[in-house]
This record gives sequence, C-alpha cells and structure tokens, in this order.
Amino acid sequence: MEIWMLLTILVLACFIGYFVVWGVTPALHSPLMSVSNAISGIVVIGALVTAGVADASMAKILGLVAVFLASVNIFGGFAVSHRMLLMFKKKEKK
Amino acid sequence: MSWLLPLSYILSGSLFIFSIRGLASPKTARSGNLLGMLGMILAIAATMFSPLVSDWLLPFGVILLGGMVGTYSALKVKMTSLPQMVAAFNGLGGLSSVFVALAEIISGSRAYLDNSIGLIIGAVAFSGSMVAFAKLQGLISAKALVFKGQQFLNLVLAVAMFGLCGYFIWSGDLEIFYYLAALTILLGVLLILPIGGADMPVVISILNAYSGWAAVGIGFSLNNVLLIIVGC
Repeated sequence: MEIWMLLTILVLACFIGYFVVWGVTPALHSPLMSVSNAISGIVVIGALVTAGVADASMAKILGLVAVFLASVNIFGGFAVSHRMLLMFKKKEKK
Repeated sequence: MSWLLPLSYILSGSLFIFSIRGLASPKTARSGNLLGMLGMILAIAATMFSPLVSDWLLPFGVILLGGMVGTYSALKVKMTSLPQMVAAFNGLGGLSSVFVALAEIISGSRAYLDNSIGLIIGAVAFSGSMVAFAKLQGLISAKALVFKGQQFLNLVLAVAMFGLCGYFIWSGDLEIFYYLAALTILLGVLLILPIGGADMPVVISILNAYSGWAAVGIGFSLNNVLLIIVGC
C-alpha cells in the first residue's frame, strides 16, 4: 500500500503548494519563480542516490552528471533570487 | 539512526514551505530565500550521509563544482538577463531528472512507469526551457514561429510519445527509452517555438512546474517522500 501513502502525500502537498503560492504578492512573483526553480533542484537528492553507489558503472556516471546539473540549478536559482531581492531593497529605500 | 533521514526530510520540506511563505511580503522575502537554502543544505547533507549513499565524496565534489558554476554565472550575468538565466537553470534541472531516470533504468530499476514520467516531463522542461532561453537571449527570433501543419505534427509526436512510453513500460527495452528521450526533447522544442517572446515569463513558470513534476516522478521511482513533497 506504499503507493497509496505516497499519493496521499502528493495530493496534500499540492494543496499546500497552491495556497502558499497564492499568498505571495504579485510584485514578488519573479523572485518566487526563481526560488521555486531553485527548490525544484531538489531532484539532486535522487541524483545523489544514483551517483552514490559504490561501484563504478554507467549509471553512476549519469548520476554524477545529474548531480552536477541539479546543483547548478540550485545554487544559480538561489543566487538569482538573492539578486532580485536586493533590487527590491534598493527600491524601498528610494 | 534510521529515523535521522525521515526527520531531516520533514524538517527540510517544512523549511521549503516557509521559504515560499516568506516571499509573501517584501520584508520577509530575503529570510524566505535563506530558509530555502537551509532546507536544501539539510536535505543534501542528510541524503549524503545516509545509508542510501555509500560513496559520498565524489558526488560532494561534483556538487561544489556545480555550485560554483551556478553561483558564478548567476552573479556575473547582467540584471536584465536574469529571466533567461532562470530559464536556463530550470532547463538544467529538467535535464538532471532525465539523467536520473536514465541511470535508474540502466541500473535495472523496475519502476518503468515512474521513470518514464520523470523522463518525459524532465525532457520537455529541458528542451522547452532551452528554447525559452534562446528566445529571451535573442539567439533565435523572439517572434512566434508558426508553420503549416504544426499542430498536426505536434499531435502526431505526442501520440508517438505516449505509444513509445506504453511500449517501453510493457517491454522494458532500454533502447526504446532512448528513443523516448529524444522524441520528448524534440516535442519540447516544438511546443515552445510558436510562443512569442512576451509570453516567456508564463512559459518559464509552467516549465518550472514541469521540472517540479519531473522530480515527483523520480521521487515515486525512488520512494523518496521529500522529492514528492517538494515537486509540487
């Protein structure tokens, strides 16, 4: 019944995501996009599991490539949002 | 210490929710961004030192490398080019799902359906984002590219994609999986080409959601709850 448990979590998580994103002010939508972009880099966890096997294999190499791509996504995403938010701060001072 | 990993995932998932919540107002937005980073660090560290991963040193080095590339390019790029950076990063995330799905299938995973979902959505997110990036960057014309029979072609490709996907799930043939990947990448390009430059933010947003769903697909295949939560 594990699949049903996972599906339950999925559906509940969808509701949370929906409501949380609704709460974001329109002005902050571009940083929101960037942050959620960084967060979707969470696939790095899956990549880590495939890359973390002990033996050297094709799958491990593909996993390592996936880890690399996902971490560019994560760090880049957070850095971009940081810059966008800095821009907001400047505007407020004016 | 089998409780350590699930506990970290619960914490990290909550941090992500608070992170988005923080963006609700400009005052809390920056701490929201920080919470997101914190959640990510926690999730990565917990996975890396869990029994799921036996060799953590090499992946850790790769994360540092990717992190440097990502941070460097994000900080160097001009302010006006930020939208296409988001598109590009998003595409890389999608491509990452594609590689994970490939690696899973190659290493003999039986989760054909889950990995196919991860592959298809990831591939569309990848190629679509790349087209969005190219349009915003001015590498290709930002105008909507429409040609005769385009929708029909897309329909045929989509049907072919689902057909291949079904055949793969039935047969588990690795070669079919490669074809499926190639076909889906092509479909992603064709889907985004007819959309004009001005609509790109919407496109990126949708593709962003796609790459999240790709993570969900991978999460099902690895039974990884965190991937499923965050993917939404």
